[in-house]
Amino acid sequence: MKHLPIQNLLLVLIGLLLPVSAWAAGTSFFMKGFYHPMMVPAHIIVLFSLGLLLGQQGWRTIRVVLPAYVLVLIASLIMTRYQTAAWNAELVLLPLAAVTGLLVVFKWNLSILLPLVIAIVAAVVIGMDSTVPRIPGLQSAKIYSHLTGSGVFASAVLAIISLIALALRGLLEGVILRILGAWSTAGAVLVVTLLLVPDVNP
Amino acid sequence: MKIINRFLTLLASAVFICVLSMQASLAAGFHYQLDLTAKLVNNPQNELTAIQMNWIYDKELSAILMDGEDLSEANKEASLEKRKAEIFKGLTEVKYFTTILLNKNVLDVGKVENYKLRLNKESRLEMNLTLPLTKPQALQGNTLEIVVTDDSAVGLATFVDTSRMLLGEQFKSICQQPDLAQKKLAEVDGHAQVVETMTINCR
Repeated sequence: MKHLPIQNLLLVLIGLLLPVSAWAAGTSFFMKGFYHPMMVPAHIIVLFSLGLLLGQQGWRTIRVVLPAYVLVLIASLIMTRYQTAAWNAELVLLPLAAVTGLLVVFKWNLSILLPLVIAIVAAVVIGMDSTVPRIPGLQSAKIYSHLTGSGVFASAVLAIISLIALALRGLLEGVILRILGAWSTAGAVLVVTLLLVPDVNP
Repeated sequence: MKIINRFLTLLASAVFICVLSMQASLAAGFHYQLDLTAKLVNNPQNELTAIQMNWIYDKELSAILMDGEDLSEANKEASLEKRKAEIFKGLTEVKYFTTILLNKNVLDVGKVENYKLRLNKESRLEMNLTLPLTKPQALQGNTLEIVVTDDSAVGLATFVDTSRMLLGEQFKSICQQPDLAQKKLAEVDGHAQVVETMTINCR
């Protein structure tokens, strides 16, 4: 059976990450940081929709936006040591994910500036929302390991989804990406609605 | 065939993310507990002058804070001494998780005294410190409250029960048995902030 290169890449990644994940149940702060964005649905949804948008817009957009995103994310993660975010991250990220998903649905040829701005806003908010748990006396090395883990995950997810979306952009005239964009918009709107209406129990 | 392959690729990526997400619930969301025992200290005029505190860290947090240090019998003391200053600095920043009130008025606390850090037989960090009041306070006819909480909700600072509040002979004769109340506040990053108030009624 012949595998596509991207399938092989995914199989290798899963193979590598499973034992690493098992080891992470210990006290590794890198892995605790690595898992942190996964605990926040808003991070995942915005990274997913942004990845779709970058992949849909093509390699030229990915090549510019992805490095900019990584640089701003690193700066924001370092900023968490000195500043606390004054905003509610979910209420920024979820509408951003919804708008990004809509852009994927419309499948416009966008100027590179718009994905760049969305990526920078996402990087700032995700970075500032990835603070290390406050533990009095925790060594600086552990704090930076945690931040590095968060940065690696939030960058790797965006890169992987962008590349998958890039591979799928021509498939069925881009319908698959547009459907996924609609899903991410629906997911973001659903989560933000649940956040704004906390008492949904009858 | 090509379309099916690509669909499988997409499915594999979705599963990949889901698998990692499930594991996240096991590894992330760090939380720790600090068990507190407090003792009231008085002067010859039977006024409250300080609160002696004994904090015992849970095993996981102790291991994290001492991770990478040489804990062999020969070097344990030196390693503890090395970590002591950094842990103390961190605790000062969070004001020792403690607020002391007399009749609902916050009492000023001076520079911490008798700060000691050791590793007990259960490999748990044990910290002793004395929080001196800037001005001695008469307890007779008043209500003292010791409030402990971690604002970030990552840690649970707890008395566990009222037996952890030691009044001493002087205050035992004029005050009622302490009362412990626990209140849960809003969640911070998935953890509920817990505020414990130990009330000592000497009215």
